[in-house]
Amino acid sequence: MRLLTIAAAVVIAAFASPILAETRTITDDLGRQVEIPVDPQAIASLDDLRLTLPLIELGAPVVASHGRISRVDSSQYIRSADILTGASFENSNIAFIGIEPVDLEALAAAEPDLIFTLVTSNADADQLQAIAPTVVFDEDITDRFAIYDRLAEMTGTEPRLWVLKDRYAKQLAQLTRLVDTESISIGLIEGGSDGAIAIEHTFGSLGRVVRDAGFIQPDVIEEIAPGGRAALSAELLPLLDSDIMFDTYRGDRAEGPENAHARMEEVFPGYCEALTACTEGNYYRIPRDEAKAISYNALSAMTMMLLTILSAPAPVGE
Amino acid sequence: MSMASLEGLGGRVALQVPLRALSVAVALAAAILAVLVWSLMTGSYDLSRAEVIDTLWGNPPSDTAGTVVWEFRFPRTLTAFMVGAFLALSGATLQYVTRNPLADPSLVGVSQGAALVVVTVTILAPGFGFYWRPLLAFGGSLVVAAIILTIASSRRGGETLRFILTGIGVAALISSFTQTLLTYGDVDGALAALTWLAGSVHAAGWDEATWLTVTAMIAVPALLAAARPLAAIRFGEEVATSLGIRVVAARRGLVGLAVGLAATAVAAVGPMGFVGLVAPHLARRLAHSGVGLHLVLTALTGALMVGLADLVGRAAFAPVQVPAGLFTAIIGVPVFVALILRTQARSQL
Repeated sequence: MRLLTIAAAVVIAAFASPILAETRTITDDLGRQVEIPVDPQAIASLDDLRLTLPLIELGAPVVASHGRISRVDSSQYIRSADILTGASFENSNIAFIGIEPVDLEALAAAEPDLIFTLVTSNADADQLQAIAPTVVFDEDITDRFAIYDRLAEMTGTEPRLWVLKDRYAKQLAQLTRLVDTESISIGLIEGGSDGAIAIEHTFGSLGRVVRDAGFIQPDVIEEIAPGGRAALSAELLPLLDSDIMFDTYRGDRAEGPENAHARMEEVFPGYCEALTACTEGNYYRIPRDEAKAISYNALSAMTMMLLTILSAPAPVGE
Repeated sequence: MSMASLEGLGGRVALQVPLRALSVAVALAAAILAVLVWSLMTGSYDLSRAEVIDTLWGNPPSDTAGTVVWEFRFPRTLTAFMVGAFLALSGATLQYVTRNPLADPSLVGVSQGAALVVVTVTILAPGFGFYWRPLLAFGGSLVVAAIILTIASSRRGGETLRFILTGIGVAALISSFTQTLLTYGDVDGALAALTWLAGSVHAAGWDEATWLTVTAMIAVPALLAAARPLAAIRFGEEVATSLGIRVVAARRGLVGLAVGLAATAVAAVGPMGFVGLVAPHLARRLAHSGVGLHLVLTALTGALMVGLADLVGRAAFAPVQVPAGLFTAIIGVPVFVALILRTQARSQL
C-alpha cells in the first residue's frame, strides 16, 4: 500500500510539475514583473555581443538574434560569437532579426518564448512583451560578467556555467603559479581614436584576466571608475607605459596589426619611441573581439595568451 | 490658378473652387490610402493578403498575426502619416510667419531641444530613459523654443530677423552640448541615442498614435482657422496691421502652434529632417492655392513623405530597419534642389 502511494505521488508529480511550474515571475532591471517560462526553449536576444554570445556559451536555445552587417562582404554575423564559439547565422538555427533597431516582425516570426534585451536597446519593452515575455537587463548596475549568472539562472544552464567558471579558475591558477604577476605591469588600450586614446577600467576579458591575476596597471587606468571608460589625451600616452602593452584592431572588419599601428601613428606620430614597452618589443596588437568580448572562451584565450608571452624566456620581470 | 465657380441656393451662394489644388489633394489622399494598404500588407512576418484582411476583420490566423498587424503595422503607419503631417504643417507655418522659405522646425530649436534632453538621459541614465523619452523630448522642445522666443521678442522692431538669428544661434549652442555628450558619453548609450536621432518610427505603437491623434484634433483645426491672419502676415507687418490683424499676438500664437506640432512629432519618433522644409514647397509646386488649402496640401504631402519613407525603410532591406529620417533626407534633398533649379527663373525665394 505504501509503495502504491509513493508510486502514485511520483506519477502525479511527473505530470503536474510541468503544468504547475511552467512559468515563474522575476523582476527585471527596469523593475518590471515578468512571467517567464521555467524552461525556455526558444530564446531571442536583442544584443549579439553582450547577450547572444553568453547565451551560446551557456548552451541556451537561441532562436533569434540581433547581429551586424560585415563591412567586408555584407554578410550577417553575430559579433564575437563567430570567432569565439564558431556559431553563426549560417551554421545554426539562429535567425537574423536585424541590426539596431531590430525588425519586430522578424522577431515575431522566430516565435520566441523568451526575449532578452538591454536598457540601451531602442526597442519598446511593451511591444516586445506582446511577442513573448521580455526581460530587460541593465549591465551597468553590476559587473559585466554577472550577466552570465543571471542568464544561466533564467535559462536553467547553471551546470554549464559552473564548468566555465571552474575552467577559468584553473587556467588563472596556472597563470599565477607560473608567472610573477604582481611584479609585472600591463597597459591596455582599445586603440587610437579621434585624436585620443580609448582606455577602460577593465577592458573586456583581457582586462578581467589582468585584474584577476593581480598584474599591476598604470594609475591612469586605475583611476577610472569601475565599468567606466575614458578618452586619454595623446599627450598623456607615456602614462600608459608598462612592461607589457596591448593595443587592438577589429578582426571582424578584416583589420590587422597594421591598422592598430596606423591609428596610433595618427594620434601620436612616433608613439612607439615614447613607450618603453614598444621599444623593447613588448607592445602587442591583438584582435579586439577576443580581447574585449565578455566571454568565458575569451577569458581562456586571454589567459593562455598571457601565459605564452610571460612564461617564455622573459624580457620582463627579471 | 484654375478656378471653377459653383453656385447654389438660386445664385445667392457662389463659391470659387481651385480645381487643380482640390484634384491634387484628392490624389495625395488616395496615395496615402494606397501606402496604408501597402504598408499593412508588407512586412517580415509572412502573411498573405487574405490573412491580413481576416486579421483586420477580427479573425487573425494566429495570435502573433494579430499582434503584427494591429500592434506593429497599423499604429506604426498611422504614426508615420501624422508625424509627417505635423512636421510639414509646422514648417509651413514658420515659413509664413517668418517670411523665410528656408524656415523649418529646427529654427525654433524643437529638434535640438528634444535631442539634448533625450541624449542626456539615454547616456547618463539609460534605465530611466526609454519610457520617459517622449515626455522628455516634448519638454526639451518646448523649453528651448520658449528660450528662443523669449530672446527674440525681448526688444521691439525687427522681430522676424531677430527670431531667425536667435533660432540659429541657440540651436547651434544646444547642438554643441548634445555633440559633446555623444562624443564623451558611454559608447552604448551614445549608439542608442544616435538611432533615436536618426528619426525612426520603428517603435511607434498605439500610445504614440493616440496622442498624435489628440494633438491633431486640437492643433490642426486651430491652424486652419488661423489661415486668414497667416495669409495677411506673409505680406508683411504693415499690410497685416492695415487688414486688422493684431500681428504680434497672431505671430506668437502661430509660432506656438508650430512648436506644439513639431514637438509632438519629435517626441513620438525623434528628429526627422527636411520634411518641414521640403513639404510646403512641394505642395506649393504641385498646386497653387490660398493659404488654407496650401496647409491641407502641405499636411498631405508631409504625411505621404514620411509614410512612404517608413514603408521603404522597413521593407526594402528587411530585417535591417533603415530609419525613415534617412529616407526623408535622401528623397527630400534632391527633390528640393531639383525644384529650386526648375523654378530658379521665377523663384519665390
